[in-house]
Amino acid sequence: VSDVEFLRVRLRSSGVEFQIEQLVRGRDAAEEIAEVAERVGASLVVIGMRRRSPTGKLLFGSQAQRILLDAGCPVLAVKAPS
Amino acid sequence: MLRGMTVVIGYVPNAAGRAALDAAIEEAGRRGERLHLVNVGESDASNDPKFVQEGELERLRGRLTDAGVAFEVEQLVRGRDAAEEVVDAAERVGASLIVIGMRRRSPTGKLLFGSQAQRILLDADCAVLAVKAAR
Repeated sequence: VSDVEFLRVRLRSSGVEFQIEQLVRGRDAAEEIAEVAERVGASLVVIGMRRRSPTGKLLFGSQAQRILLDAGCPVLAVKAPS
Repeated sequence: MLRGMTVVIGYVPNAAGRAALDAAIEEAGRRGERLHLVNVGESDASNDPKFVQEGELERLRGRLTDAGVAFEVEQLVRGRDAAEEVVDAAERVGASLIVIGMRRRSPTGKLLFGSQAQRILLDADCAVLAVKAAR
């Protein structure tokens, strides 16, 4: 299954209303997400975040950082289970 | 304590902190979880604008009681960073979520990512909800 198909199945089975928007026009992900959030009047933006590397190195993704800074609404940052 | 039964808020008495408090109360209510408020002061806490003083502490407790959520207020002054204390508290109580206030970009657009917010976002095991003050 393609990633998009996986998403559709997952979202459909969750029972929430949804819309998928894929954007390929040479702009940063952070910029696109902040703009979409404004366009749809989002109450929340949810993003995935990397964990610190095992060496403890600081790995703050630049896109995550910009979304957190630029979003007009609250941002929920979620990590993969360790 | 079971994991995922508590919402932790790293509270600072400013506009962003109050916005975070509103969000944390809402989340705790929605999830049916307890609210654990952490407020960290520097060594001279009586002169620390980030430390909740007595009168305000009373109002804060009143606000939480009125909200109808089960809560606990923890004030820590032991020379450790706020980020460290908040992440530790979250682990200790098995938090499902940490809520923090965040500054907006300055009008000049300058990048102003608070170092404490950054460290909480990086070091927390659970999800982190970052909330800004209303414009």
